[in-house]
Amino acid sequence: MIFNSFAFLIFFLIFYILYVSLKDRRYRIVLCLVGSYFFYGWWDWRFLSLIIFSTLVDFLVGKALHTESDDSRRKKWLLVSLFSNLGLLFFFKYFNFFVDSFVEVATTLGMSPSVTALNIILPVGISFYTFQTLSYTIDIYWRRMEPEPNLIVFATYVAFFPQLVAGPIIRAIDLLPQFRDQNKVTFEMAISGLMLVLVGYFKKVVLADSLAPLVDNGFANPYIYTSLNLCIIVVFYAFQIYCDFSGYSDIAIGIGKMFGFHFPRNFNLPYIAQNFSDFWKRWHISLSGWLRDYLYIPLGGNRGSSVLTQRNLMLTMLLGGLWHGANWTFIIWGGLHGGYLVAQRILQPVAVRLRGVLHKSIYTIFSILMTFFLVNLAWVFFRSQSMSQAFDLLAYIYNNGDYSFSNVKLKFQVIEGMLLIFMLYFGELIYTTKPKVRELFSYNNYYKLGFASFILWLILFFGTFENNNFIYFQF
Amino acid sequence: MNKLKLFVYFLVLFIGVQWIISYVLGMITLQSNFRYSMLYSNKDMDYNILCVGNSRATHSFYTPYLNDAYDANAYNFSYNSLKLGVIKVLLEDYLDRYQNPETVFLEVSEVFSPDSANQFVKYNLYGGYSSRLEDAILQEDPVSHYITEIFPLYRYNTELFQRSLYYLNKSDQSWINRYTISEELNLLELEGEMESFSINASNLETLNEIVSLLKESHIEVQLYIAPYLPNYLSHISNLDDQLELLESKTGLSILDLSGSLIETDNFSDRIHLNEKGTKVVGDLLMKHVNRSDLEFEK
Repeated sequence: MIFNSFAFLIFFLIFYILYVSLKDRRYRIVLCLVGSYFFYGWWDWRFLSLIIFSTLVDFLVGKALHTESDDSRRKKWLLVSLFSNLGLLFFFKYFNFFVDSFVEVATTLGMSPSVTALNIILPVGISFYTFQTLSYTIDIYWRRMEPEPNLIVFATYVAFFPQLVAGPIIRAIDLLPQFRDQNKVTFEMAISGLMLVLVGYFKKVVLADSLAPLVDNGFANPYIYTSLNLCIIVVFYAFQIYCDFSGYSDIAIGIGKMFGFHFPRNFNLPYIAQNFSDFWKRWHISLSGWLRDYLYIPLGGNRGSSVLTQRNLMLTMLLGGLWHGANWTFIIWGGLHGGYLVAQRILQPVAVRLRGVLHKSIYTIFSILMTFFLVNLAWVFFRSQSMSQAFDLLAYIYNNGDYSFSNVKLKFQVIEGMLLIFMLYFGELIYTTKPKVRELFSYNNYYKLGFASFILWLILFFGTFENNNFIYFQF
Repeated sequence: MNKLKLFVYFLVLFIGVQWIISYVLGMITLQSNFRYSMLYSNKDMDYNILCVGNSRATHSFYTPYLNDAYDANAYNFSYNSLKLGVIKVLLEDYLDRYQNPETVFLEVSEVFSPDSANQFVKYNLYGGYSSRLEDAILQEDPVSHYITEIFPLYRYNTELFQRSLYYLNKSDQSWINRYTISEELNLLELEGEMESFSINASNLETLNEIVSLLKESHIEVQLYIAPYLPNYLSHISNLDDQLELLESKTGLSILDLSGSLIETDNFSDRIHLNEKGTKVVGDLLMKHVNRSDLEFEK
């Protein structure tokens, strides 16, 4: 079931009425669990067994980790959790990729291995809930939290439908206590949550889905476009994926709020980042935070020599890239970001000197544009189906050399896309940087509903209603 | 009570203001010089020659040139991806409102489109001005029809409205591709796979209905097929056969211009002409208008 479908609308209405009608916390949790399993099973009920398996394993491992005092035995219990969760993830997501890559390498070396790939369906959301459950066992292993005594509560945490399939990745330490507390749903919370949901839908159906056809065609047939056209298409992809993913996050956070939960922010104007560490504090914050705490820091973080820090950065970003999917394009994307972070550290003295020479605002604009340009370069690989497609597109941009706007194809859609992007980003910038605007919307329900009307008009006027899946569902 | 007040406020604001916005946008739409806005605003549209079809007609019939060079009083009524079912409705509405044209040029490549869905909903912008269009949308996509009934702002969620805005103060007849296909892309066409065309039965049926409608109104119908880029045309295996078959199915001769232009600089891509190519095709089309009361030849 996807958020932008009629089925979800009906499901949500029924679910919400039942949820607010139930006053007892325990009944609400049971409803959340049943609803979440129904939500996931709507896509393919067979894969519910995977979620239930992960839930049971981690619930039992959590208990064992807590009661066990012997370090080596505790390590073994943690390994049980890691192997079972990552094993499933590896099998469903990466098995064919590694088989194919092995066959390719072996063929290059003159061997002819007879290994056949399996026809494996990727369970929706597996990357997200795997990371969620891992945070639970790792945090108990590190004695940062105690295990959840109630299996129903824990199962609800793992499968909670608003953020089950595409995040934000919420750690057990942050979400489990909220299930234990009585979640009071106030009218104000419901309105604020609804506002976020509408903003999320706006990003998805007005921006992401309107930009999608231009981007799809541009990446599939780069040779019919001019250099400027292709540059616009790459920038459009940057905003398509931002609006698609942050739109999903906004809907998830908004729905959570309507139920009385607080989910952390997953995006914070990533395209005004002034460098790459800044970018990763603004883009997919829940994943970058997870990778930092459960991968980068355990690898040694920046506690060792400069070379070791750079190795840790590269490894973290490469694995972050691989997390997105089993394709070399994602690894290159991660590698590029790793390279950017390493280069940023190496070039730090040059940046400091430049900041001293240039006017502050010029330096800021230069930094934002440079970061945005390099982020876009990495997006080319992320979006491409294959390495050759990415290089083809870059080659066409370089070789064509036509930067005249009059030769841009589908000008109406292009201009509409640019206007909408400007409207969204300007709006987000004002809302984020002007506390007075935020206050206005926090306390006054009339303003909130006025804004909600405005968003609904925009959705009616610009929306694309074709039930397009969210991009991050494939990850 | 406070919640009820808020709910009423929201309904009035969202639904009510939306109706007012839609009313204003409707007035703007009819003010426009865009072809279909002109049609439904009952502006002066009595033309001798009309050209209809999809984007290949849009970019093969350049009326500023024809009207200037031949004093032709011609009008291009085509649009990108314009389906034959929509053409029929638009022509019926045109004939209801204006004096019959003497000749209608109809570019036939849409007959070969495997897709027979008419996509009337794309023309929802004008649904309020045409009962035929409204009925067709209701039949094809009732959900969109009822959404438009409740939320009229949805009617303006279309590229046609953007074009209406764009052509608010200027004629849309100067709309033409002004760029030329790159040599690289032209050569790439040589590597393409062979394609074959086949007549879509549903599209053929609609085409015959259009032909009958025009004939009954005593309008001369001239079917034609616009030029293809030579390197692309060489990969269409059966165009001649299909055109012959189409002639037998419609009972009309088809002016085959598919291979009439051999210079690449007449094209903007493999299926569309640019301004230069359009002028050459315009000359060829005018030669085939066999009417004594129109002085087409210079």
